[in-house]
Amino acid sequence: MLFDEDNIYFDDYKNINIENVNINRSKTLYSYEEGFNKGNLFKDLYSKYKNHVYKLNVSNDKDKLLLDIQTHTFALKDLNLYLDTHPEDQSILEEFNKIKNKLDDLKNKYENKYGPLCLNSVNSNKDFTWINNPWPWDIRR
Amino acid sequence: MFKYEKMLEYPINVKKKDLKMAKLLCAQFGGPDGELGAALRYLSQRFTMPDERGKALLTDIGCEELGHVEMINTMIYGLIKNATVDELKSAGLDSYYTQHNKGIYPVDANGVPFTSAYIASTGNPIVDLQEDLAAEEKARATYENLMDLTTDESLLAPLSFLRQREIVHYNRFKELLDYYKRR
Repeated sequence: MLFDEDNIYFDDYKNINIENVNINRSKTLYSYEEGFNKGNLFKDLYSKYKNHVYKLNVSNDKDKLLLDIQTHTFALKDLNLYLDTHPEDQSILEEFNKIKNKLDDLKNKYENKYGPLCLNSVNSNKDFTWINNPWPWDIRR
Repeated sequence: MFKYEKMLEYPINVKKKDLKMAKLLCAQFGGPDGELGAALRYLSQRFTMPDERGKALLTDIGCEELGHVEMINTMIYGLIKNATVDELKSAGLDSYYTQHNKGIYPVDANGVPFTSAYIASTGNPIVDLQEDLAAEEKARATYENLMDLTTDESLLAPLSFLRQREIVHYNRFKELLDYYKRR
């Protein structure tokens, strides 16, 4: 026998279902929040490791807004990769455009309140706010 | 050109010092199947992709991998930040400390420095994509090994996220490879 019956690696492969990816099938997506928690927006590609499932929680308003931005940035990125190999998929392109608009709004809201996330959002005549802490690796406790 | 966004792809909030895990996580920074190698692999191979789908996919996944380097480094930095020299010693990081103090430097879990020998760029898109499929699978397996080695949820959540990205990347590379083979 090639695989033991309880071989976890074999189970993984069954779940990944690589050979069944159908190029023109309309895709079923997780909600952006669930997809972000999982690291995968596409239901047919999701494959869990053992019982590892996590849900992000943040406490303050700033981190909530940032999490919302990260969630939408991720959704845009995951659809971006899908569209690279399925550029003809009109419904996913529509979804992509929807997320893009929402992300623009969220970023404007965040940057007006808490400072720039990218250099061309620096918007100040007295302080060069780009350099302000926190940087992404700074520890928030 | 490249632009920086001042945020992580996925939030990281390291809850406690853990030097052993910091050492092991180096595997996914400067190791043979790590994120730095992944970024360099795709961002180099993209130049000889034969059509617009390939040029786009390798660019976009390569950029995402740079974001993953940043996530791994954020974890390592957070895990060793408040360590004493004695703690570093007993975790086997005294040799690391000698050369790098607490600086972030690309080595694998055994302290072996990163080398571009870990990646291939053959100029042949079929060959390169086969390498990419293997690389994503090796990185996925490494994440699973790392997840077996900790119970800290502040590490497990980002590791679980990063593992899942390997699966998505694998599938996109596979779609591209199959598409090229059909043509």
